[in-house]
Formats: sequence, C-alpha cells, structure tokens
Amino acid sequence: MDKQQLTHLLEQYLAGKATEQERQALFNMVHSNADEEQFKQVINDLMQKESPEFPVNAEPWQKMVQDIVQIDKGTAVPGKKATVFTLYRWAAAAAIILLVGGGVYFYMNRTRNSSVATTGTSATFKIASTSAGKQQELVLPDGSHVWLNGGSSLRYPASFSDKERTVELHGEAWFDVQHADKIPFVIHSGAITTTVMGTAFDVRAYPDQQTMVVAVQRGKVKVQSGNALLATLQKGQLVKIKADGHAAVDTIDIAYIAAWKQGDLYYKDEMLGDIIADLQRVYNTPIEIKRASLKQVITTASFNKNTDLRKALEVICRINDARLSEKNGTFIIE
Amino acid sequence: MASNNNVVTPGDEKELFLQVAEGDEKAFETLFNVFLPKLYPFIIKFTKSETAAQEIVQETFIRVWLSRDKLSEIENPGGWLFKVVSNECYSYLRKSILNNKFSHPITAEPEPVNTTSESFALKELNRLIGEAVDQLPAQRKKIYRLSRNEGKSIPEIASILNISPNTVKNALVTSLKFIREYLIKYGVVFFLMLLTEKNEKIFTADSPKQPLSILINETEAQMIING
Repeated sequence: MDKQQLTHLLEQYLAGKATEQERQALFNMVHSNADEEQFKQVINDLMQKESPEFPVNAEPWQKMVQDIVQIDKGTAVPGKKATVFTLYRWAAAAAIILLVGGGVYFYMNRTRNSSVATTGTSATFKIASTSAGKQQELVLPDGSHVWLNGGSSLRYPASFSDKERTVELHGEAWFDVQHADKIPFVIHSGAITTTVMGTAFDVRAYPDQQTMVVAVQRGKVKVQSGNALLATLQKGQLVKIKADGHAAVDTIDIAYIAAWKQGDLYYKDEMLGDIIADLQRVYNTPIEIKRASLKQVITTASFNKNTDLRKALEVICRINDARLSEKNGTFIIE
Repeated sequence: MASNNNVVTPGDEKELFLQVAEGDEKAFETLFNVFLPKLYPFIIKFTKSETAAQEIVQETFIRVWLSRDKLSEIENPGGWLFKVVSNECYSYLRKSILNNKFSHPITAEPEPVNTTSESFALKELNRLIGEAVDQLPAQRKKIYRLSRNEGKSIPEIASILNISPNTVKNALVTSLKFIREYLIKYGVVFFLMLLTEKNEKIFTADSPKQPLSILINETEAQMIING
C-alpha cells in the first residue's frame, strides 16, 4: 500500500467515516505488521496536522504530572485512588515479574481491603515462599493445591472472594485448582494473568529468565497480558512468552510438565541462559556463563535431580561446545 | 507559567527541554501542558478510548521524566516525543486487533476491574526506584536525594557539598542511568523501547547501527536513527 492510500484510510478511520472494507484493509495491515515503519510515519504526520485543543477535565491531568514527578522521590505515591490511569503497557513484557528485592515486598503494609474482593472477605493476606533448592506444598482456602518450586513465593488471601480467586506468583508453581462453578482462579505474575476453572498446570515466571512458560496438564487455561489474550491452552499445550511479548504455543508431553515435582528436570527448546538460571536455583550453586552468546542458544535437556550438577553441566557443555571449569565453588562455562 | 500554552516558540521549547533535563519539575509540568493539547486530540481519535489515550499519555511522560537527562542530547526533542506517541498508538492498535476487539465488538470482554494493579504499577515503580537509589554509592545517593527529595538545584547542591556543579551534574546523570538499568533488570520493559543505555548512540544520525539485544524493539530504534 502506498503512503497516500494509507494516509487516506487512516484519515477516514480517524474521522469515523471508514467503510467496513476500509477498516478491514487497515486492520489487516496492522495485523500482519506489514510496513510498520510507514504506518507509524503516517500516524506521526497526521498527529502533527491535528489542531491543538485542550482536553476538558484538567484536574486528573494535573494529578498525573504530580504523580510522575513523585516517582523517583523517596515519598510513596499518595493514596490508592491517586492514579486514575493504569500503566497497562507493562503488557509487552512477559518474564517480567515486578520482583521482590529481598524481604521488603513481603512486609509492605497491605491491610487495606482490596476492591476486587466482595463483602465478607478478610483483607489479610498470606505469603508462602521457598528458598532456592527447596520446595513447598500448600493448600489454598478453596482446597486448591499448590507446589512451590525453589526461590518462589505466592501471595494469597486468607479467604477467597465469591467473585474471583486471586493469587500473586513470583517464580514457579504447580497449581491443581479446585473446580468452583463461575469463580475463576486467577494468577498474577507480573503483567501476565493466567485464568483457570479447575485444572492442573504449571506456571514458570522467574525474574532472571527471559521466557515465561505456562503448561497445562489437565483442563483449560487462559493466559493474558493486560487485556490482550495471549493463548487459550488445553491439556498438553504450553505457551512460551518472551520478554518482548511474543507468545508461542507448543505441545508438551504431559508427563514432563512440572517434572521438578518428581525430582526430574526437563527443558525443551529453552534458552541456555534460562536453563542455567534454573539449575542454579535447583542446586543452590552459582554458575556463570562467561560467553554471552551461549545464553541465547536453544537447548533441550532432561536430568534426574539426583544427577550430579557437575555431570549435568558437562553434558550441557558438550552439547554446546563449551568448556566447564570451577573456581571457589562457582561453576564457569565458556 | 503554564498559561499561553499555544504560544511557545521552538526556541522556548528547546529551552524547556533543557530545563527538564536538569530535573526542573516546574519545567516538566509546563512541558506536559504544552504538549498535551497537541497530542491528546489525535490520540483519542485514534484509540477511540479515553482510558487508552490517558494511559498512552502517562506512559509517554513517565519515559520522558525518567530519561530526562538524555533530553539535552536529542536534536529535536519535540519530534522525538511525537515519535514515542506514534509508536504507542501503533502498538495500541495492534494489540487491540490481535485481541480481536474489533471483530467481535459486542462480545468483547469487559475490562477486568483490576484496581490493585493500577496503583500497584506506579507504586511498584516508585518502590523499585527507591531500592535503586538505596544502592547508589554514598556521595551519589546524597546528591540525588538533595536534588529529588529536597528540591535543591545543582548550584545549591554544589555549594552545600563543596564540590563543583559539574560533579553534581555528572552524579545525577549517572544515578538516573543506574535507576533505568535497575528498572530494566527488574523487568520494567517500557524503558527498553527507546532510551536504554544500549541506545545511547542512536541519537546521532550517523552512528553505526548498534547490535541490539533481544529485548529492545529494533524498529523503534531504527526510527530514531532515520529521524
């Protein structure tokens, strides 16, 4: 499509005068991402031509400016309703867990009633957390079972509301969710929301990995980023969400999902950097990859957890033509 | 100072950006008031959603504020601002389409009421930044806090600490850079889009194309180079 045509289409669209065909043509372009640069340029041109006009309600805008300049000050952002607008753009980022730098997050005062909860819900929250190398099983107020993998934490209310069961995950956990008619179970991990109605699945969202994975063993799971639907998964399917927002659905043998629960480690087509980060956590031993390019290499590997870490790393190095050495208790791969 | 919004000359505009680069909050407020009327009418026509338009404005200006030190390096900061917004608009349209909002307008899901995440997001940013500042080396931390928490100007800080204004300025620039890197490390993606440290060179039109990491939006960087 040439620039003039695109400009015309966009002008029609902006004026609300586009025909169904014209809208479709426009959307197809965006959907296929064809000529992204040109499209953005046309947007830019039209934006500059627009006549300035001050938006009506001035107050929220003033508040916005104030909130923004407060962001890098020591003071916390005032009040819950101070910000009327949502930062929905976190969205693009999958393995993006707004993480928990140490103990601070857990002790933040969150005793105010969440407005998501309905009447009769206690405002107190519980947090279960595991250190690297350890796992923990817990039962949630609705009877759902959760297995937390090492270096993970789960925040959940003392009792669930009757509209929605919401939890917050950092790290990795296996969920076996109790079926509750019309009450979805929702897991927040950074900007990604995973919604289920009684299923068994694994969510892997560690902050130091570039890819987030949700894998379903039983039932059906919906994964979104903000309002954007990334995938609807059935048994035997998984979705890999990269930091840049790209989501790819793949299949997986359900026997391998959350293999860590049985003490096995299984990585299919994962980036070496992510695999090593995981191994560090599981074996609680520092491992360094000196050759940066190795981190992006896609590798498939499986180990029984009883495998000696050195042996496991030797195998990985052999596959990737790398050298393994050890210094002061740290493994080095180059 | 915020009056006469439509009568800001290009020279004034450049001056405004320079002041914002120094961390002048009032200048930032003025900048916001100057650009808002120029941006908002278009954004709202484009997104056809007041919420989305407001979010785009907010994200754009957060980026500006947290990368303010770079504003003095950009040839045409006003043009850059428009580019950021154009990109955001395109992304918004793309996401809406991929989300099928347009094919089935009636069955589109109602926005999940997620009030925990809205104040969570800004609060979280604030908290992460607090952590980052905490990790700054003693002198730099002191300078940063004098500037941001106590609102002292560069000359004032220089005189309080008995060091040169240049040292103060450099400390602030380095601190901001550290904050951005910290945010990126903890996954705050929207900063990856344009003003990451790796893209420092892209503000000069004749710089060689930098090898970009997997997390950066390459097409946006390209736009700036061709600017």
